[in-house]
Amino acid sequence: MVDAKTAQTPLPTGYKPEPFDGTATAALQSQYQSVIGSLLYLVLRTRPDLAFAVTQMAKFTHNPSEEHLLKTRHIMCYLTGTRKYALVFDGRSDGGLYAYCDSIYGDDRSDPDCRYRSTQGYYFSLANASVKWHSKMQTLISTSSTMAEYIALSDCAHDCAWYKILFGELRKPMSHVPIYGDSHGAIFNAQNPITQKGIKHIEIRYHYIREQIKKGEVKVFAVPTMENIADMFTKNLGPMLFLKHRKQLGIEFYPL
Amino acid sequence: MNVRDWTSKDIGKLPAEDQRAWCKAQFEELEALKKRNVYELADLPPGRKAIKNCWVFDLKSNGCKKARLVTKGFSQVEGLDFDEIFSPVLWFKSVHTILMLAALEKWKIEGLDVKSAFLYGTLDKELYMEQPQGFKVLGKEHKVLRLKKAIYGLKQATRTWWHELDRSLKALGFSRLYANAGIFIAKHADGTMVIILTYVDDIIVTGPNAAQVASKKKLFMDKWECRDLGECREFLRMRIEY
Repeated sequence: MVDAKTAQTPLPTGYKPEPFDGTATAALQSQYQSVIGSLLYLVLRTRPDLAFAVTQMAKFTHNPSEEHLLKTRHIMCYLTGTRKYALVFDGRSDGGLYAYCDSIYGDDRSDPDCRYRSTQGYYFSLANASVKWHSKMQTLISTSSTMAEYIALSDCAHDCAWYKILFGELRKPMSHVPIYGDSHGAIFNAQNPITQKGIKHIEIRYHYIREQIKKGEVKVFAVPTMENIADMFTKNLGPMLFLKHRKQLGIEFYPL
Repeated sequence: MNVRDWTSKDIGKLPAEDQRAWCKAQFEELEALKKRNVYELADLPPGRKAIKNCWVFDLKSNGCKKARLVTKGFSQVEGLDFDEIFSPVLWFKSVHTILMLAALEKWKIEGLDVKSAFLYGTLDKELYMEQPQGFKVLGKEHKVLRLKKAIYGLKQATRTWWHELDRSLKALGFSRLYANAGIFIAKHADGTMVIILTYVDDIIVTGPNAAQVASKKKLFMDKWECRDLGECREFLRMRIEY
């Protein structure tokens, strides 16, 4: 793969993998699983930019097709082009801890019995480089994009609470964590404890975000979608936006 | 075939010279186990089954041949040979956050690697293992080995090591974080602290005060036999440059 063609983004813009109708051969399955295993290793350690692409492809390890394998090659082509990139903690900026949060409504196609679940993604940035990232299919079906976003905000608040505990123990108490999201509806509902028709069915545990806001542990702000960096954890962006967001994650050219 | 996939049988098929070299590596491992006082010869009590073991081999990047005696944890019986096996682990979000703090405040990051860490774990059960394959004591072939310390491959190996680490770090003035049980921290009266990140046997020591870090590291190395990696350049296959 050293001389492979390079790609600008991990997966083609707007690509959505479809489940395979046939049955994969054992050889293909084992090869695919080993490739995904290696890629997941990278995602966990130092490559948040791959998080969405790899978690999407990882849904098909039980029955991959040649097409899926080809797309993992695409991810590797992207890696070839960015082998000199690293997650840089330069420690020069004064940015505190903040989170970006996003979700996409009903995009999942992987499970034939339970399609159209939503995907959520968020990441935490400390001093302008990402320290935690997350891209995951939600475990329940959302009935609206607002609900999907609301659940994502709530899950994000769990991590905020954890960070608060950690920094408290490290003798660096924090005031509150700002969370940036792009859904006005979800932010409105999180800040105002009203029960509307559209959200009355949301499970109690997802109202955790309301309590956290009320206690002043987190503050939620709206940003335009184009500036929401967590967007890259919920869809395959085009090169322009992807490269812009990737820089925000702290992934920079760092030749050794 | 990769060396790591070899079994004793594959070693037996090698030319005599290579066989001798690997056999030497096996003796070195047995010597290390003896030095650590891991087991003693004993009779198997009735009703118990001895845990099976096997050899695994590896070629280190410097060409050094390494053999390790591991137990077959799957032959352990739940309730008799083990109960609890959960062991906390270091999260990557903690690693990233602490590394970022170190970058922000220009802390020194020191790396350590505990040698044969699992052999330090004290067992709370009586475990019996078969004698090592191909290295049975002459005339006492029917005897088994009673384990005094944990050994690689046991189901509870990671847990006992973590307990041991937790206990002795407490004695060195560290306390475990509630946020992540893989992080230990010693707070000093002057507001400084030393932070230890532990991922099984890979250790990072860091903190604002270089002298305190060095002294805590020394204490740690007196307690365990470690390889000093100096300024940490690699942690869990993540290259760290600064």
